[in-house]
Amino acid sequence: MPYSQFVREIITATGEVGDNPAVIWYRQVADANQQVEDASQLFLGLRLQCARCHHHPFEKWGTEDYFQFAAFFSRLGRKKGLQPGEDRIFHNRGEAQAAGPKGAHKPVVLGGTPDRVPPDVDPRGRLADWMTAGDNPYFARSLVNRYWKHFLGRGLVEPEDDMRLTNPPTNPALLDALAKHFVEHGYDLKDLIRVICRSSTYQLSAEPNEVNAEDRQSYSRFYPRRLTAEVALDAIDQLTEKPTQFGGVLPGTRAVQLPDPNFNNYFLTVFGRPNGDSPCECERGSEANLAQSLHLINSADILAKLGTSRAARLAADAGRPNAAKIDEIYLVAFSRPANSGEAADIEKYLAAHAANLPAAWEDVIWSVLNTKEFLFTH
Amino acid sequence: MSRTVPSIVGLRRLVMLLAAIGACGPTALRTGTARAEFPRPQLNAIVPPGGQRGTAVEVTLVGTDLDDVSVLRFSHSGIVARPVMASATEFDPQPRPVPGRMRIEIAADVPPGLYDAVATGRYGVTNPRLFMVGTTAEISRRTGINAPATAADVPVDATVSGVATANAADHYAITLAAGQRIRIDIWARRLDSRMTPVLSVANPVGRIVARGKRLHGDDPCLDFVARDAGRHVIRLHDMYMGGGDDMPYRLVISSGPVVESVFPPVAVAGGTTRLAVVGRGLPGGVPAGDDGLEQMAVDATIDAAAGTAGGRFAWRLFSARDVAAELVDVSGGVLDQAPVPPAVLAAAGAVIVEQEPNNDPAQPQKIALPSVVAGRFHPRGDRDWLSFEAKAGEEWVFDLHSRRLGLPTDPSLLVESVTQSPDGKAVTKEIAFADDGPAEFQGGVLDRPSFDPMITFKPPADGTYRLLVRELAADSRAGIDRAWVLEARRPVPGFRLVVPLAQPDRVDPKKIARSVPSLQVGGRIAVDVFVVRIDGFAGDIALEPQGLPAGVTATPTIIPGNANRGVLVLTAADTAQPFTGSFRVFGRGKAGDRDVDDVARVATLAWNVDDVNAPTVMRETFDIPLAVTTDVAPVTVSPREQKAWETKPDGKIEVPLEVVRRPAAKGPLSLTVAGLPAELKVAEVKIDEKATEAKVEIAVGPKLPPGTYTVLLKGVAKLAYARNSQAAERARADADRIGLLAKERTAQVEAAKQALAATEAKQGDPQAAEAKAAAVEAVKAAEASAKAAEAERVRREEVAKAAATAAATKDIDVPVILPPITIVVAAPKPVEETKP
Repeated sequence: MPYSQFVREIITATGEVGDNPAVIWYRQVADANQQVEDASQLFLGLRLQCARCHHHPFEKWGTEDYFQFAAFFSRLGRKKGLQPGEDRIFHNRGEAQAAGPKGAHKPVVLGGTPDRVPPDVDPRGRLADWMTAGDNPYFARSLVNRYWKHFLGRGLVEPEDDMRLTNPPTNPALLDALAKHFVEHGYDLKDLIRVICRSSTYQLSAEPNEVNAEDRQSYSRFYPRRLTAEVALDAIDQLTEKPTQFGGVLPGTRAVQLPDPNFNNYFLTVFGRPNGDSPCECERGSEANLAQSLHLINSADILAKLGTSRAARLAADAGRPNAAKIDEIYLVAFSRPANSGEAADIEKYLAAHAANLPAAWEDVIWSVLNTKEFLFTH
Repeated sequence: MSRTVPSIVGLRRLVMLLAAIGACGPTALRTGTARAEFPRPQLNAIVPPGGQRGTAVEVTLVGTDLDDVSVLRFSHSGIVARPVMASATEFDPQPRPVPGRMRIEIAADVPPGLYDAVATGRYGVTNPRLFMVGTTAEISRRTGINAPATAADVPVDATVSGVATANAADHYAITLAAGQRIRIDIWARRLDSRMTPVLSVANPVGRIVARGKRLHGDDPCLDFVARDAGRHVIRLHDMYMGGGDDMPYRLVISSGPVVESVFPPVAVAGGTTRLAVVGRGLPGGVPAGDDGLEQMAVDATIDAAAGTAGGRFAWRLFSARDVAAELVDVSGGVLDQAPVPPAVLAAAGAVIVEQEPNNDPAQPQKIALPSVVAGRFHPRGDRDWLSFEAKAGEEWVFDLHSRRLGLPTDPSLLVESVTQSPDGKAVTKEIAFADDGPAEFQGGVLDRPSFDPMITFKPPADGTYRLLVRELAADSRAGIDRAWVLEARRPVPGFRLVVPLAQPDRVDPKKIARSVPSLQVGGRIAVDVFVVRIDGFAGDIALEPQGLPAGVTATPTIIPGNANRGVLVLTAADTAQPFTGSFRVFGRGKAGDRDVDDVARVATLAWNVDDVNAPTVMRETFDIPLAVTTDVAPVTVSPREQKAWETKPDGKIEVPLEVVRRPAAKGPLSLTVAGLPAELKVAEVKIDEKATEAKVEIAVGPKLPPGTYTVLLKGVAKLAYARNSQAAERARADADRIGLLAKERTAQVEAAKQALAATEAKQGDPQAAEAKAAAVEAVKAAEASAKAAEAERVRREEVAKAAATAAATKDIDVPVILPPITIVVAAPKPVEETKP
């Protein structure tokens, strides 16, 4: 589904979750102001919160813009749904208008001109039309900036959901070119990923040199960053061959496949999984801390994964030379074979602990998963 | 920015998980009554939940309090069930029924579709459960199919019956040719199962290439075309990873045509009509709408009256009005290949089909009143405008059907007047808007307003009016199978009756329990009757039960014109014999000079609602099951005189009561009444342990409006009750019989040993060695036989002890219901002025 269609489905969602899952956003975000602020922050990269109360002298958007935007959500009706606790979202026919401090405001898109919305037309459809029009100055830029940040570690506009006149992009030409490409290719997210990942910028080494060691915003090298919580757990599961079992989902479900944050898991919590309480990307913790290190080094969860899994299989496999087994681990963990020094060190360690090979292989895997090379995207 | 809205999905998952854990386990027969009351049998599942017509299938009845079930009655006479009998054994020479197992024979001429079954056992009759009759070969799920590698191979054009396994998925493999198109349809929720199925298909290299869509409530289906030839694996599991024997499913794989719906979904009953069949893989079908749907014309036969099979019995009801639609089955051509017969609304006259484009209010489709118009909420964003002429002084009813056709729609209606301004421009004015129907049954079962709107329209002046038919979610969801039918007609006052086989719990009204009439000898039950009043009908309705067995009577009941619910109280006489069957409730009234009558529709609750997070799932069923058991009610309290008690405002009435106490009744009894107007006061009636009579004092306040009022007194009596003492007696007799057998066999061992000793005494006899060898063998055989009998004796003793423990007498609460006491409050006479 093109991204523009995906957003349209959410913005214009009607019905009930069982029939139209896109209404979940309106179920969770029931407050009208929150709808305005979340929609603008998520899909346009604009933080309109401040404009609700005042017009900052250096900024473009004022209270009038805010409530004209809010008027698009003013005919949102909700009634008791079929499932307990579920609302049914519908267009409550009538004149769309939002009450601001200076009176009622008709719906007007940001920077646009008034357009009468008949009472039987859902104004959210008009909002979606404007948002997903090819010439919308915010929609495509906001998304490509998010993806750029996802892959490169830093947005062309940073923070990525605060695009405004006084926070310009570091490379406006690049941002415009990416947005143009995205629109021209039908809001195809996979295509956008291809474009970014094929770029020489994305493929630069993370190894700094004397020229770019200080660079933090020009992408002259790759900026290493820790794996996100879910990816890190899945990677450890894959390396140890011991999948984490989550309750209430199909066995084998990976952390990245979990439908919501309501699955208790200490690893995911300590590695900064967001709670999904707000539209802000800042909810996801990306820092590395002592609790994470201790968990990886010495927790019962990780130790349990090491035993009776890949380590035991490798120890029991007498038919293959150690070098092949070491390469297997390195390919899974680092996508490269072990170099001669690494292989020699491990061979030496295995030989010294030949009396208890399963424990020795556990130690090897434990060492690998505690390396920065494993835990960081580089 | 902080928001702490709890995730309902997460909460629901937890609830379902707990429910699933609680429901796991192989026990088919459980003791269900948590409170000390008469056991109330509950049928939770029939496993497998269906069979092929013209064959027989053995099923397990899953539920609670299903002791001694001997009867499984279906809503079609061509489906007959008998208990499965265990073969005669050494210890039980007479064949005995296997508890909870029935053999169902389905006649070859039973139309495919859904049928209801109720079981009757020691404690009465259960709630209904759906059973599906199909036409294709049946396969039972085998175990060990929890991984794609161990998937069970199944052919196309077959039906697999299975039960979901907790925390696992079932896998079935089908071998397809490249380009082969099949339909995979899961029946679970539509068969009263608790499973919320999730369906996917993996291609021959193991990649998931298709996922089921939830087209029918929570049941997914899939129109699948294989890109590559080879073995594809169907994966099926519960969304919340639940499992257990209350989660049966049927997986129907077919290569033939699939009927999704018909259009228009309305026709004159009892004739032949050309209908458009909407479906997939239709012979000669042309692509229509979205999502691979096709359409073809069929000359369909419309049943004259509601049939005994049909998909509508799987539809979830949300309001009592949902039951009120007059639906009839259709058949003919490709329709006969539908797994359940499609149903259409019975029309009063010719049907007009909407003509698109009619989205623009300035270009509406013109209709003349009265009319029956059918249309579709299609494509996305659809608006259907109709215009008509009407005159001042007329009265019209616009009744829109869509949800009542079993569709997941939320329609609305708008009426506007259209006049011209002096400069010739059209001026419109909103006259009426309706979204949902009236909220008429608050608090309890089926308390939601109908989704289908209705407007009573009195034109303010002669002129042109226009009408907007709109589905409120049409901007997000639309389809050629989402249809509507507008009846634009003169008001015809009348009513529909609905009997819900469910009641709020006696102690905790937030809980709703299945309630199917089972009477104890001398006992009473109250059957709730809802009245859906149509087009302003405000007359009294007399309730008239039909089909009650001898010894069961109903108190004459009139639901007054100002009420929309009543209670029919049934009484089993002391002479009533055990019975299982069903009855119907008729309502009779008058609208002016016109007789108005209706037979009550019946709604059943799929699952008891023990939790506010659990949905109340009601659906239609065929009749009202009824049983008379062999248990005896402890106390019967009745008015000495059955009449309407007349009084006037500020008056008082004393109604003498007769109290019959039976052996095992314990303690005093108090009777109270709930839900009366404040001006009508009924003192609590206290009846002590020895009393044989009592009286109820009713005080009418000075401001009570004149009219008819009904007082329903209820109480709870204590009874010293032995649960299934007959089973305990049978188990005791069995244990005694096997005990005797064990003794006999022990004696036979002794005799054999003596015979052996006798052979040993005859040493030297040439035949002695041979006789001795035979005697040794006889001793061995006797010892083995005695050992087996002893082991069986020990086992039977344990069974007898367990049965005796279960049958230990304990005090239970038994609701005591009085027949309704009717009070007629007359208007006060005008005060005459007295002259000095």
